[in-house]
Amino acid sequence: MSIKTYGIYLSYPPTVDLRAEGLGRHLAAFLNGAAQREDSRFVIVCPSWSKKSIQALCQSEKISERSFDVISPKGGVFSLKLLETYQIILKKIKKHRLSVRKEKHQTAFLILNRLKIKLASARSLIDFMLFIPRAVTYCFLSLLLKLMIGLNNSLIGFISFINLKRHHSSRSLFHRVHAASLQPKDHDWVFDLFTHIERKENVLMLALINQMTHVRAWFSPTAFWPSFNNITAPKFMCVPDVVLAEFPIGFSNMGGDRILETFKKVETAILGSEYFVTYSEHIKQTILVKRYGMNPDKIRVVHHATNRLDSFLSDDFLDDKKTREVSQSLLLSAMKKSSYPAYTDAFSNVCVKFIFYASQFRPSKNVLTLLRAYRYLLRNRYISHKLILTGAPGKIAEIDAYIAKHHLAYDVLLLSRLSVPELAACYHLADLAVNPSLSEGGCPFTFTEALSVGTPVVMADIPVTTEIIADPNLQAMMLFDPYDYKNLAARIEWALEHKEQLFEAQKATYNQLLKRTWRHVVDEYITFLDQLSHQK
Amino acid sequence: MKKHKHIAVIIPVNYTGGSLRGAKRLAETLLVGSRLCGESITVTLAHLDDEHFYPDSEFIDMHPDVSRRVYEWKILDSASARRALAYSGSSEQVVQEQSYCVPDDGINQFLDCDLWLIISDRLSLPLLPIRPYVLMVYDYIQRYIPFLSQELELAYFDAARKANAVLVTTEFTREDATQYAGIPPERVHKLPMLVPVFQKTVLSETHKNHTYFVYATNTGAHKNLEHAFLALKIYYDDLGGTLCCHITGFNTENLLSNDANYPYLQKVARIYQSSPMMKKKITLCGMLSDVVYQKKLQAARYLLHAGAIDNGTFCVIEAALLGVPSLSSDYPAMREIATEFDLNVTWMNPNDPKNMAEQLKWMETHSAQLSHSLRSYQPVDLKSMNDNAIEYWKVVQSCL
Repeated sequence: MSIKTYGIYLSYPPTVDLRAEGLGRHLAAFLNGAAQREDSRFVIVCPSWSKKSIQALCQSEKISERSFDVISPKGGVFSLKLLETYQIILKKIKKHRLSVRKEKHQTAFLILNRLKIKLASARSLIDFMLFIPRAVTYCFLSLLLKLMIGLNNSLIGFISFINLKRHHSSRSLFHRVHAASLQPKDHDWVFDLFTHIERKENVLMLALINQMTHVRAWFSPTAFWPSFNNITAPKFMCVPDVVLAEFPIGFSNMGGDRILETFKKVETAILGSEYFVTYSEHIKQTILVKRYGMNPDKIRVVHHATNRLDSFLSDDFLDDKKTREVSQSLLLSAMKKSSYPAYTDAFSNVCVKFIFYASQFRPSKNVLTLLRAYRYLLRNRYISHKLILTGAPGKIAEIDAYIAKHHLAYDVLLLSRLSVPELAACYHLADLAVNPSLSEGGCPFTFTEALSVGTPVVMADIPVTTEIIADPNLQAMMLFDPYDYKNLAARIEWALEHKEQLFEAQKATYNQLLKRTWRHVVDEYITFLDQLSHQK
Repeated sequence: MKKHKHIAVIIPVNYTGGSLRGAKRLAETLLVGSRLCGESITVTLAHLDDEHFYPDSEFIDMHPDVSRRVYEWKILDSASARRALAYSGSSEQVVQEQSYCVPDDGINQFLDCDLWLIISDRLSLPLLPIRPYVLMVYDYIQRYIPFLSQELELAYFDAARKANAVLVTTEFTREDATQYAGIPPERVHKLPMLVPVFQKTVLSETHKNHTYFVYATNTGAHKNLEHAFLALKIYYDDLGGTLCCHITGFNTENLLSNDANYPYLQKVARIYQSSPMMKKKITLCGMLSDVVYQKKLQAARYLLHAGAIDNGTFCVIEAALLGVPSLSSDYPAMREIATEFDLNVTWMNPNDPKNMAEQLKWMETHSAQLSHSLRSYQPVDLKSMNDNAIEYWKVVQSCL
């Protein structure tokens, strides 16, 4: 049987970890689906710096690396290797310093402790008095040790200060480089450098692609890369969404002009492309057709498959007791990632009732409406559930301000950077999952994620959701007006009072959706790729 | 599927009382007008996020199909404004100011709306030009009683000049809009006044004691308070006025507080303190609920409106509906109201306290006769209301 080869184009900038990107997880699911086909094979062409990230993604998502090929320009970029090495060294130094400091503190503590015990347990006045010289010596030594630690740190700081003051220009340069190495994405000049590096790498990638005449057609999983349009072989571009276009004011003061540059790249990529895939009819029509004037006949809608979380909790999910125990243990570990450890570190009620929304904080996610609804439920309707969110503080000032202003910090918990098992546990233990988001590329995964672990869900009434949840009776039960916090609150209150009824009603649709797997998604992609290759 | 148009009616500052009623009325009018024209639109009334000024109880009487949303003003610097416009597909070239404001509902900054209708011109920063907007301007009092800083005045002119349309309800304000604010005449639209739907609480005759008149006012600088109190002093001290005066309205309980921050109120307090009869006859009632106010008004001999140069007041219409005659300051906007709603108002010169006092005295003996003529008064019929609604909708629709 001949095997057809298709290409996937990736061009993420340096330092991007695909495991942390939504598109990375989408790619992982796609590759897992693709591995099931025996008549086709995918080759990923990516920058040299992305290879490791793809390997890490495969490991975390349990994808067999044998099911696809990864090709990138040989050798790599020397400055990036230097950066990577420097980052590794910094990490090691920091770890070493921490352990040395800890060791010295422990030694001082042991000495003092011994002293206390000896004095307290002296049997006679003579014993006590004889011990004093030793005690004094002990004290002196331990104090000296502490002084040395402190002096050591101060000395280093002092020397650094003197040197930096003396060599102002080298301070600027050193500090700039050092700061940039810790958080490259936050520095415009690094961003500019990366742009140049990427440009050169893209040229090399294109040269590789042009040699791959056996690849029938290509696709790019995102619209970030105008360079994709330089491929002359048949191709299409995925456009998950252009959320900045839908929420221009909300995003206007996030990321500054760097994001504007990225946005312009997306627009350039879209306008330079001819064939597209979107995850929903809504994005196809509102973004590609209406906003960018693309030909609807050249756009395919390929809906997502489902995301399930049950396997992350237990091999035998149906064993309620075991699953619950595992979940409760994971909840406690998730609590340790709270933004308010003073409250959550000692929180031990694993049976706590809560409502759950899993999402980063973005302007499109409508978190403030959810907070308004929650406050109303708590303070006016006396619903005792907590609200657990997975966004991080400091991302959107209005969210932090609302929580602080209304004294909600003990009831609205922010647990960020959850592992997938912790996420699954939160979904499982929640009485209700909620998704108030105003815009997504496709039907939010919340529905299948929650249902897969036995939790009902209420969601915003938005087009991408009603495309999939089409039953009007079910819509009436589970959807709310995302612009009306009281409507959202009423829906939550009803759902909490009718959990079983809601879950049963949703299960039928969930079971129906389960029939669509990532294999189906891959099949539809391949059908489109084949069509394009035949056209050529 | 054709998307319904969505209009946000935005109250830019903490307006209450008549201004809030007017905003609710305007929102309902647009909804009704669009439906009469066969269109299906959504209207959202937006107000600042302040539970003290806007408790839920203030909106019980609002049309059920008008939705409500809270917001705060968000300020964007020029860089953010430029980016916002770029993301939205608008030209970045229009960004010429250092800062812009935009109403932030915490959802998507009313970008789900197709047009913003702002009640008044009180925008101290330019509005981000990301949606067409219309202003509902009731008056330009500051042209006659200057009280605004130059900075604010210029900001308000700017807001009006950049609006897609400015709506006014009197010829007097239309003149000010073109002459004073410098708005091109084709962008100023004079529309009918929208009379509130007054819920009439009928009082039996036995409860009407007719020993007082109601003086409806507030502590604003444009309320002609000094002349009004001089007139009351003359009425009581020189003309032997017999009726008591019950003063009602927002913050009127502080009318005589002698607050040094408000020199015009200090003058009023001094006048009051100089007359024992005024102290005996005048009662400060403060802000009354609609029901209580109506009961008080119905039992009164007449209503006094002594303000000057604003956009007029509908309290004379409410009074007429309840069979209570009015004595009003004679100024252009009130003349327009009296003509439009066929009111037989008794007039006085607001700049002449002596004339005002004489008219107060005249009302003592003539108010009963005037009241009789108001027995079957109706301000406006349903057909007129519908016609008005259509007129409002057509103007706003032209800006979409």
